[in-house]
Amino acid sequence: MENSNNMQEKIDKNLEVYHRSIEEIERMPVVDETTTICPECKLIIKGIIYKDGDTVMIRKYCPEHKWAIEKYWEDYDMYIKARKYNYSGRGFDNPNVITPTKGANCPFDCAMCERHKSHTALANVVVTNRCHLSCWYCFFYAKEGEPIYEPSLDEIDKLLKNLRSQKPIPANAIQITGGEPTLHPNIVEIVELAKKNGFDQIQLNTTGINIGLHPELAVKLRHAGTSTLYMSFDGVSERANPKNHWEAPLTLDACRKSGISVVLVPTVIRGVNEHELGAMVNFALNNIDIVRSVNFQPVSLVGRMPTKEREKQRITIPGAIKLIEEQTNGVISRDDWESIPYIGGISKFIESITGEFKYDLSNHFACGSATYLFLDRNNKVVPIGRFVDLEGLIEHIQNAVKEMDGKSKTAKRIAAMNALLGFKKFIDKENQPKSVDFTKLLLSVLLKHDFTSIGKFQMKTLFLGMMHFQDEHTYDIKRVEKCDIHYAMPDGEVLPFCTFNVFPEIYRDKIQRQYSIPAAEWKESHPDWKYSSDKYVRNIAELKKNQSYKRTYGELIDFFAMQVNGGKPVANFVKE
Amino acid sequence: MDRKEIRTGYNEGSENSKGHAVYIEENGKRYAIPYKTLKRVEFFNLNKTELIDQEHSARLQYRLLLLGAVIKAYVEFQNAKITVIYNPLEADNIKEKIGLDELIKFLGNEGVKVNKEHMEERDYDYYKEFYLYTFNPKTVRESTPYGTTLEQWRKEKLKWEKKLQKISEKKLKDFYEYQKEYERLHPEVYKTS
Ligand code: SF4
Ligand code: SF4
Repeated sequence: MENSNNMQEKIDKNLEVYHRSIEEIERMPVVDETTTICPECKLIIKGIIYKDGDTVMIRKYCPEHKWAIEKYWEDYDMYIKARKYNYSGRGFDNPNVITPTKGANCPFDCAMCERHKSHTALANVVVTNRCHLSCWYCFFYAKEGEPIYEPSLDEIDKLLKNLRSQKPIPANAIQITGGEPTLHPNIVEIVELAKKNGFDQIQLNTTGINIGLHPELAVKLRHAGTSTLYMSFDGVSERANPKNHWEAPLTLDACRKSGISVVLVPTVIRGVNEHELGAMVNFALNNIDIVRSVNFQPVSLVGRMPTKEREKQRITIPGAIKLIEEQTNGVISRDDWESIPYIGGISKFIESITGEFKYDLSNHFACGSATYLFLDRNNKVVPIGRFVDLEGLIEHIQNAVKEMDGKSKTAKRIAAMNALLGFKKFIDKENQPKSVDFTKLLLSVLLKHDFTSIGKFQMKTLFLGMMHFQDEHTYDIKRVEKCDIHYAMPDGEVLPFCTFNVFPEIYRDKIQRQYSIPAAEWKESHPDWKYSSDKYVRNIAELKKNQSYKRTYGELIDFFAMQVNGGKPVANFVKE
Repeated sequence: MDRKEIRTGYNEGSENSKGHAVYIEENGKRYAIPYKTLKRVEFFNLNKTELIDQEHSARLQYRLLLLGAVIKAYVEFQNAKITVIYNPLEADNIKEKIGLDELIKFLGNEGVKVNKEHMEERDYDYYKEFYLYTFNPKTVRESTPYGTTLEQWRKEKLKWEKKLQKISEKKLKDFYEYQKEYERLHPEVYKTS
């Protein structure tokens, strides 16, 4: 690490935190300690989370590879706020492997080992590694000549059953993924199998292209039980979203017609698409009839990449949140977001009242944040935090949970009733959207004991989520041991997303390769198949002529045009 | 799910089975698995100073797993023991393989000298000892819902399990009804593309 004052003058403000001497760094206030890995040799080492100005950084020292520093969270105050909601959840009562090391060698003891601290909140199942695109940055798909991984229907059924027999809380939400999952010849049957195995939430992680071009597929998928299209969407402009900019309007129309809801999934990269975050939220609001959520994913920089390049591209959750604040003219501010385990607090309350297991969201606070937007009658966007005292409310709930702990049913009921009666004081009726009775909504969630009752209120709402997947530079074992996004592997193991992807050489690629068949053999058993025939070739001019394209991008309302918003139509938003 | 009815049988050399070593059969259904008989070797009474500490042991485990022919590896610092499950040279499959001597050499290069006198090696049935377990894991502990003691939970558990069963039956029924209604609204669902 260099330190030169002359040099610092030339350094972008944003990158300053990387260019300090270690003596300077060691003097900075320590915020937390954790365990991490050396990005070079994977030795488990101590990670010191420290404060550098407003930024939260992680530093680590490997005896062989010396110091490494990386941005951890780009805002100290937001870090401290998020940290309040950290708690340990429950792992599996029937972990898929029993390791003699009992998880002491975490993250190399996966999976799912006895040490793990969260149940599966979302299970990913890879149904093929074939893809119709060849994105330069993607390691997931089989390149020409590489082995093909494509489990049969029976094999997938076995994985689904394994997920459903998890104890004490069976996986209930599944994401069918790839490669491009719609390339699996039995994709409709796979969805139906998931439904019949009892999954409530079935998401399809896709480019959306096949669905846009073949709307009849969307109808079949919805009929089979697909709840949501988890669609990659990296920006509103062509430049920011070369993956599916031209087809996305067709996909949205196909979903509209079939009744599948959509989650837009942007991977956020500094210097690439970070200037379009507000525009993406705006795009979602324009399609609020089917878009339920935007799930931002600040880029995870796994693998070898020159340090300078990494520093430039790195963006963390608060970094993206602050840009959203800027780009929405403060309509969605940084204070509107809460870390995901906040919601876990509500689950705890419901569990304490009912005495039954409920879905937990016990991932680490630094993994994800979220907020909820209401679109009111006059096109006004109101984040939930503007009329609900979220911190006060959760504190109130946490106190009630403490009070109910271990008590008899009657004592619990009394404590719950008192808590419910106290809710009103946290809701500001003056400022709540005209189309919403939040007290009623909250009581419905808490009394009916599930979040799905929100859907019955017919309000225009948009969920904004953010998850920052880890890489070897930001790696934090305290995060991964609480990971609740999992992968069902063909060998019966269940892996946390952030070991599956961060160490593909011992997990994702290794195990999938074991269960793959060589390309030549695949060709032999699929004589009509050609690698090139999987690949999608687009005709941009034709796609742009489509009415759907013109309407989707050309008639956008800008909901954030004014500080006190209310929306104004903007012609040709994309070109602005 | 009824897991008692598992009948297994290996089905080798069937059509297109070169990539997969074997197929196994459970309840009349066929599943491809990559290995049949592997080797499991245990090196014990190791010199703890060679393992250095827990952190270096974890890294050694990672390094062992980097070898394509190593299926599982456990480096136990506390017990001064290393267990490796690997695809041996004589295995009848086209996957990556490794010999015991090479494995010992690898460990030697990593600074851990193993002694064949403090070693136990045996065949390891991938299906029976690994795959069958990961798909049928044992319950090793009993969690309780938040706010509920183990005593309270044990009284309620059976009721809860029955309730879950009922809910899943209802969900399936609702799903079929939903499908019927959807077919009415979208007759194109049966159109072949
Ligand atoms: S990440 Fe979880 S499953 Fe993997 S080794 Fe750590 S605690 Fe175990
Ligand atoms: S996937 Fe990664 S970022 Fe998300 S909860 Fe798991 S460890 Fe955290």
